[in-house]
Amino acid sequence: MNIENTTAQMRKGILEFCILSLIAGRDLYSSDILEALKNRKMLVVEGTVYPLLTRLKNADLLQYRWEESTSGPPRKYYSITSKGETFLAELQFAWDELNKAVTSITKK
Amino acid sequence: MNKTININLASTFFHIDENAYSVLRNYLSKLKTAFKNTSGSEEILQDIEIRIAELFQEAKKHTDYVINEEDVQKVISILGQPEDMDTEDNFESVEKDSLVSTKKLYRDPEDKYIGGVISGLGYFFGIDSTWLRIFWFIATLFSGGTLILIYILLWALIPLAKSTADKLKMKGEPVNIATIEKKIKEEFDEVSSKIKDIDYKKASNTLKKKSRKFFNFVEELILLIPKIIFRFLGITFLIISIIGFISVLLGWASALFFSSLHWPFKFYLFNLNWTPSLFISIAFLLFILIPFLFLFFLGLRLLSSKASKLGSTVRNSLAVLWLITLIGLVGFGAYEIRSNSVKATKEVSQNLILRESDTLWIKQKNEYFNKNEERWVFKNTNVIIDPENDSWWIDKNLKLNIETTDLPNPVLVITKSAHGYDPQEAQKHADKIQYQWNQVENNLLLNTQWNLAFSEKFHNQEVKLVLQLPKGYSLFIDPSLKNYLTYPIANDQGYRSSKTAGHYWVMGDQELECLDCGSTSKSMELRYQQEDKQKELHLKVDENEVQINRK
Repeated sequence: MNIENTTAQMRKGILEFCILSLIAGRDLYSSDILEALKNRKMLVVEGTVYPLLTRLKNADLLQYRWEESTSGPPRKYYSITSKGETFLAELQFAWDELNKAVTSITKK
Repeated sequence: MNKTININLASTFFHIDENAYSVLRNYLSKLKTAFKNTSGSEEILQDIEIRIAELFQEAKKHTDYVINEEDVQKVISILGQPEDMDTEDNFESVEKDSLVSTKKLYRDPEDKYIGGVISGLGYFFGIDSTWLRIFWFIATLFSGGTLILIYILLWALIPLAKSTADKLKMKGEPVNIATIEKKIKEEFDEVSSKIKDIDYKKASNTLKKKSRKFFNFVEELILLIPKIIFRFLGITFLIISIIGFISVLLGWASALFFSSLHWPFKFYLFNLNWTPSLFISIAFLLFILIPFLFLFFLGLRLLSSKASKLGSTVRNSLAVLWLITLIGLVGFGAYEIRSNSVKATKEVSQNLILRESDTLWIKQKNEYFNKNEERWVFKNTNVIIDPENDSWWIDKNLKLNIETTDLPNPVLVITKSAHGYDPQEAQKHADKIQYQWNQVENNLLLNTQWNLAFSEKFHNQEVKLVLQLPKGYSLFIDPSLKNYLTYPIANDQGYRSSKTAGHYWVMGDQELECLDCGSTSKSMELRYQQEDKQKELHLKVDENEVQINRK
């Protein structure tokens, strides 16, 4: 067992929740998402996010549109769908429950 | 000096040096294999490419900037190795996919039955160890102990993978990552600990995995057997059809073009000027070729499901054509059988002029037609073409018999027979057989061939000769005739009829009695009769006695 590994596993489970929450606020393009996650130390490597985004999009929780960029390749802007919003609300509830439970356990 | 390559990443243009390019390409192909089992893999890869392009764009200090290896390494460290990404499925796919890198041969202490040699070899050659074990086991049974020795030798020579690094090298995983990760120490620690973790999990699951693998293997094997049979059948069909097709076509073409005039079929089936012969021969050809064609395509289909298929129009028209040829040939065959359904014979008896005291010499007539090399052999019968006389010579189709008779003189009975549509026609065919023989003094000269005019065709014609000999007449059968003596000829020696040739015989009460068979039989007899039949001398010598009788 090692601490890095365990924390990575912990982060992994809530990464989808974080991504959905970020996008629910406003439409974001992939690099914005990466930026926001990295700033809060939720990410070690960027590569992890792409399969997640695709998975969320394939589950109709997210949708995207292409936008031209002046400085580089065209960007994918992601926005949340109504189904995604429901899902996010459920996740929020589950997270709050979990948070409560974990806090009560660990605060003994 | 370093070569620069222009690349297009997510529709953005970059200059990149050669080393950087190869690292990047390696990385992308690694990602591609890592994600190959993930749904939406193409999209993920496209997203990653776009991100790489963005990161390159950031690294680009001026428009002519050439991306170098350091830039690529930096991008890779940001995006991470495929092992660190969530590829949705399991780690196994990642393990398998990194076989590209350099590997070392180790024995695997975790996946072993005896010494872990086979699993080590399996990793090295990228073959599942279960397959390799089964192969090795079967091969050992047939190798007569050689493979056991080799196994022991390998056991001694190949080192055991003790450390994690050894195991990684054995699986060929880390070398690629390691070169990158040496620069970032922390990451190396993480990866190696992760691998430890995997190994732990793996060890606990080994038993389960092994049994699962075994059943998977059995299932695959069962699925494989019909595949192998189909392959084998396919190849066999292809070979048979190709050989059959070519040989039939060649045979037909050579028969048609090189000997068309003297084609023996014309004797057997048609008159010389009858054009339907060509049609019938073409029908015959198609009748054989079309099934070969179908067999060929069937073989192709068995070998590969992608192989070109015969169009349904082509297939149906070929089938119809084949049916037509079948009907045509059956009809023709029926016609032929019908037209040879009745047999007729013509018998001619000829008296031979011979004194009883003379010995009749039966010989083959010298005129033997053998000039033309165009001959057709059918059922031991030879058909030879004689263009000068406009006739067919039939060789080796003559039967000669010798019988006793009550008539006072020797008689040669010539029986000609033929088949036809009705008795009259059969009779006509029989009449057309031309057989030649003659008697010169006491030599009976028999032609061993007979002939037919070109206008005649095969009607099962036969010529049978019977020499009827009264009692007391003697004869000598020339050895040249021995092949024509096919009927049983009654003789006191019990000889096969062909063996009677080359001996002197006298006709007794019932059978021929040999006059010179003494050397080969246990007894010898000699009979002497005076011309007026008043006196007779009979001398008999055998193992026990000598008998002399006088009348």
